[in-house]
Amino acid sequence: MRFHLMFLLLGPALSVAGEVKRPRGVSPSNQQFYDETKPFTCFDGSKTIPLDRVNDDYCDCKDASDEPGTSACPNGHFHCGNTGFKASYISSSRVNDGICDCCDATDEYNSGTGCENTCRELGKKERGILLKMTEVAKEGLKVKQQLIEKASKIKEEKKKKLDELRELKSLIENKMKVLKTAKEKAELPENEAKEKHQQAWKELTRAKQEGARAVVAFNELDKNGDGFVSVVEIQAHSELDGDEDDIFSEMEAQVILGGSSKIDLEYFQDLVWRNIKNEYKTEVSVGKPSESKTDTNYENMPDYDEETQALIVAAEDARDQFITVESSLQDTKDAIRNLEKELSMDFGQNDEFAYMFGKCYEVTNEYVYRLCPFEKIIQKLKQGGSETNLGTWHSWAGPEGNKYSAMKYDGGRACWQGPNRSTTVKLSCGKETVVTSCTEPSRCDYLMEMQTPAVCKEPQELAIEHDEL
Amino acid sequence: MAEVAGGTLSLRWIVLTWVTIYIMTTEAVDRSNFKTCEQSAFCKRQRNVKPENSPYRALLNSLEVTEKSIKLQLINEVNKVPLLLEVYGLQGNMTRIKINELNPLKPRYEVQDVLVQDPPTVPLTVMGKDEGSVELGFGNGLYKLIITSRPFRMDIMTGNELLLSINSRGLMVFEHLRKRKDSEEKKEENVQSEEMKEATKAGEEETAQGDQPEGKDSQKESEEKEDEAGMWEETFKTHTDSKPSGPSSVGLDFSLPGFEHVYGIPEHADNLKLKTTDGGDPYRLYNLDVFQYEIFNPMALYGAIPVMLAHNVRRTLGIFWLNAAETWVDISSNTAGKTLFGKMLDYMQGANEIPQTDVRWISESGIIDVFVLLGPSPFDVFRQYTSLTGTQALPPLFAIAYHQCRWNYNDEEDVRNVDAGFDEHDIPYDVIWLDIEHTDGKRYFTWDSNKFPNPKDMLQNLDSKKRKMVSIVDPHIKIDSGYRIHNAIQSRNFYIKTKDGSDYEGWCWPGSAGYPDFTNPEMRSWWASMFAYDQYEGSMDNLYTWNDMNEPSVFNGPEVTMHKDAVHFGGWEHRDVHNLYAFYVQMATADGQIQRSGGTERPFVLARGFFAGSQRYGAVWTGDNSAEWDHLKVSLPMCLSLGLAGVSFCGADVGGFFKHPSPELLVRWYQAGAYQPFFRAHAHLDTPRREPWLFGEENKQLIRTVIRERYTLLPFWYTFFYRAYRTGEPVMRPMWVEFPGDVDTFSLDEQYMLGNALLIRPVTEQDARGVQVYMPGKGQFWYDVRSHQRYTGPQMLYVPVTISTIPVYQRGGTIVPRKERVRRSSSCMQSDPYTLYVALNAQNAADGDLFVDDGHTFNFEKRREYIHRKFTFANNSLTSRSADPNGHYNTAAWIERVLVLGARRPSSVVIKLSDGSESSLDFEHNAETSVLTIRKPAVNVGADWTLYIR
Repeated sequence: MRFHLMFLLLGPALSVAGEVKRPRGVSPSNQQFYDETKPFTCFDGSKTIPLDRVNDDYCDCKDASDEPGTSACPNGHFHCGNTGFKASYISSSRVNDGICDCCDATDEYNSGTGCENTCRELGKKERGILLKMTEVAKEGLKVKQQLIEKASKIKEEKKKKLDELRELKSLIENKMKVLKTAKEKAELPENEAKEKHQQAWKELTRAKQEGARAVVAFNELDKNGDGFVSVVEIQAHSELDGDEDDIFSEMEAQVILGGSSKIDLEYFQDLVWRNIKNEYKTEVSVGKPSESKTDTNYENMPDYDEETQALIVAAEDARDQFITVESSLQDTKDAIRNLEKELSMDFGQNDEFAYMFGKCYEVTNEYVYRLCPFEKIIQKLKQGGSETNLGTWHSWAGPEGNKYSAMKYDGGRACWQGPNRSTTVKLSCGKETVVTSCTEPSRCDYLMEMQTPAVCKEPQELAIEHDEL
Repeated sequence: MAEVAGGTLSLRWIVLTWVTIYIMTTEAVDRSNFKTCEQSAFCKRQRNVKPENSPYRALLNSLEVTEKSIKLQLINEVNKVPLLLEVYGLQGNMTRIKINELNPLKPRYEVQDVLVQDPPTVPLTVMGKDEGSVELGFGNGLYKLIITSRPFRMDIMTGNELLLSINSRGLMVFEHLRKRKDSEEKKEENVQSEEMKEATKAGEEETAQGDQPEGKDSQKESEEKEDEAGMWEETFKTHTDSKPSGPSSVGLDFSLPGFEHVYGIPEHADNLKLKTTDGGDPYRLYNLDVFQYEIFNPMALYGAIPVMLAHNVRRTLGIFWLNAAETWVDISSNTAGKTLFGKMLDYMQGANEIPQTDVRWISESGIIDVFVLLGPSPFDVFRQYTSLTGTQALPPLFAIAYHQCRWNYNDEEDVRNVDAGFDEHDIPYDVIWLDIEHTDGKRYFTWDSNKFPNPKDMLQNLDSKKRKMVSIVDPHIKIDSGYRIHNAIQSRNFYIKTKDGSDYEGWCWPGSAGYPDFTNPEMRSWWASMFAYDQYEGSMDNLYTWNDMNEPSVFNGPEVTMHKDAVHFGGWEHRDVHNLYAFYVQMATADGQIQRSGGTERPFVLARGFFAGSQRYGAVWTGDNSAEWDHLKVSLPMCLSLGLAGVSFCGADVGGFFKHPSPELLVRWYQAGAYQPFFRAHAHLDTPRREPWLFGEENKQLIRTVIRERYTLLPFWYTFFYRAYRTGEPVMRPMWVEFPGDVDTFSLDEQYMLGNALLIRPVTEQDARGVQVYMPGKGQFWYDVRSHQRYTGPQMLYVPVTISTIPVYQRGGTIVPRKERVRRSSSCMQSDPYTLYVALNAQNAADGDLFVDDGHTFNFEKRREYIHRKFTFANNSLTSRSADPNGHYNTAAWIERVLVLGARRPSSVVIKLSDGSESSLDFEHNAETSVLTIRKPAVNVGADWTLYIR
């Protein structure tokens, strides 16, 4: 029953006398350790075993070095020569498991699985792909170079612009000081003249109103309508009683009338009214429109005189100048802030990503996804409708040493009973800038893929070994 | 996956609005959605009956002895309704007791299709009879069954020992079917009120005729004391159960003198040892889709298996209550309240009271049909129960390997990437799963054409690595005239009906859905035919099935399930068959998988709901658990209870379904899950991705290590699944099953045995620094499987643990076969060599067995193509011989290594083959660990041989 011993002993390399003998599963560089004239010592030196225990399908060495060509050791590796393609190691667990792993089919020598040698085909395909990738990388790199140059130019321009703006800002600020003084200077006489004019109008209005009230009061007092207010008629208004003795005597009333027993309207207006107007209670019910209106009516105020108007025009002119400069200062400040922000952003080692700033890119599958690099990502239905924020710019998120290969956007709209939406954008080399896909691998955790020249790198040595030995 | 959950996209919105509002606002289960006994009219009525003199009397003169059974009439002295009692003696130490109405108004439901056959009987002999009792003998006179006439009770004895009494507390209640006494008037009223509704609808202003139904009703009730509320109609929340048959419940009590430990009656998220239910709710058996279930309580869950085991140091008994209606089980004990000191005192004073457990079963409809399984050993009870309901189906080998699941793997590319991820990280797995999102709008048997345009290419790609896929097929069917499956079911009239005869409609994942009537054999047969490769488009032979939501789950139904007055095949109410529905769904699906291969390939179907007998059709899991430490902890007793009830193929969602596990919890869950029968990682749609490599290198390695450990042990697992298939013994079993005489094992549910050989004590505590492990057995050796350090029982061992520690011990006296060349899937390991781990006991002996077949067909059954080896170590030699000469199978697999744990250094090791040839073998002996490693016996695993260690 111990057929395995015989069958599995050593690889085919030993079967032809005179050839270089290399046990199955051993790479050319490790061949030296399997000397057919000596017992075999495990690579870790832990044990020395007879050579016929190499590849005898039993794991003797802890480091798996005695079984390079079988599945006996759990931690072993099998070397696929893969002539025509790339040589590689596979895990020992994939030797004779019925699945073709090495393209040269050498891993399935005893499983009854009919594996075909596909190395040449694969090699051709791989070369094709690599060629294309190289081409893309080269072209992408050219574009990238241009982008960098452009970005550098733009950056310089922007820096220059920033300097200019800063200079401009201080100029404006200085000018503002001057204009402010001028404005204040022009406003002072303007205000005085306006004040004066308004005061006069106010006086006039008030006098007019007083006169009218006196007429009303006179007519009220003049109960018998004889055109005179008499002592008796005064006595009817007990509020006019000067002292507190509850008796409003004839004498007291006559005193109010300036000693006369009766007076006419003119006298009342000129001499009596101003003495009693504070105490006098009108009989007309309070709230009558004619009564309550004490405010000055500026609508009817006559135009300013020419002199005042000249002052106003001058002041307005000063103000306009000031405001114009003030808002241009704000604009300049905004421009400075934006420029500072832009210049401080990390657009890559050589600002190769700067060109994306302020642009947006879309991809459509079930939904429309729009990426505005360094700003945000949104999702919306094809037929439009409201937008869902999938995250705002957070940071570069590539692995260490390759941080510019991925972007992270987070803090998007919160999921129901879940976290805020966030998106990782993976970048790969392409001639053009295009978003190729957007998926949601985990709920509310999106993955977007984007091609851009900005991540293209110098193509590595891509040539494949045509023959391994 | 399953219950309603995440904030998903618009498609799910309609369903969500229905359910979320009242189910999902809280974190854990909303208990108010589910009935208590008090809220379930029949449970309340039955539970209100207190121990007293039973009104039932056995009419001994009616005794009729037939070849198969004895028959006897019972009468209820109060209402004079006669009942028929049938007692059967069954082969293999069992008795069956059936009680039905002698002349029911119409037939009462008797459970169909659960028993694998009409249980073979043994004659019952009348040993004695007087006017008060009759004594029956069975089991070669070993057992006596005494029926006492007044009040009616039964006692089962062996010798002079009383094993079990029935109706000894007088709690039996058999509600006879009756006509509604006010039915005539009621009908009229109903008609009137219907007319009124119609009239109102039509806008006419006719008034009722001065009749006052309420007054009339209350008058009637006072006249008829028997007529309690809830007998003819019952309302829970917004749902009204019309109860056309009125009261029909049955209840019976059992007393178990000498027993303090009872187990079983899954499914509950509770401890292994059942608790007394005094003062609380009884354990409930009613298949329900419980959203975010709570643990450590007796609430009903997805499945129901009405079998209970009682155990003491001398004996194990079983009670199998064959009823598929809503069922409640009360447990009380006369020692429950006593402290350890009190028990000691009793003992010192001469045990003035024998400990006793009392059990009461209550079901809403059907008949009383009870099997008493008399043991006496736990293994006898397993054999007895599975001789009735069938044994665990032998799973295809891949099904006991590792499964990778998530709600949802989004599209074909996602599947390809995850599959490739396992290879990249060199982690084995066998099956990737697709949840409901893979379908075209939750239309099962279809694919989303955008996400899965080429399912066959995807399956082919998996097959090229000898891997499988499982797709979900739920038993609710979208009502959509453009959906082939719906049209076929509707046109064949296969849907369950409402009480009014129209097709029953409920809300589930697809929105409005119909529920195929799986109790109809024609429906099942049609359903099975839908799994044919030309029917289920895009399917292939490596695509298997997942039946979720089969309780059935009805989002807008009472208690999230179907209305009890819905009507099934044969006119039976849903009330009668509720707990059977899930069983039938899995049955039909498994049949479909067998049929599609022309009967050669073994099926694999996972189901959430189940009943007694479900073990014949596949695997079950513990449903929608949560990523919490307590949920990890409770997965052990949940699966142990299922194992006792015949269902060995059990597992819990690794990582927890709801919520996001910490890396530590995830790692610990993998470490526990790798030692549970069904090993599948699963996660809710709203949780972050959980593939094993997403938690850093260290955690990845920890997870990889334990999945690989599972794969090395697959031969052991497979052998014990074969034993479960043959004898009904659980694969994952409570400690007391292996140590039935050690009371210290009776309440253990944090550790358990795999087969008879491995003691598992998974770490289920956060930040654990150490765990307690109880190692039973006087002079019993236990070997740490990693260090091979030996311990001697009985002892309570404190084991310090790190995150990489999984306390697993091989029992001295056992031999465990492993395959130590772990490959990317189990099928790749088919012909790989074995390593035998021989763990010596104190007598320097050990034995074990190994089952080998092709791993996926029925040839082991039909053509006896298998190898069943017995390995025996005694007298310093290890022998391999056939454990079953009926089996023959050719395999290239061989023995590459033998490890003897607890061995002394030998001077030579010689192997002798069956042809008499001998050769000496190299070996290594580690004096420190006493492990002898024998190098390369290199014999075929099917061969006879002996190793001599001198």
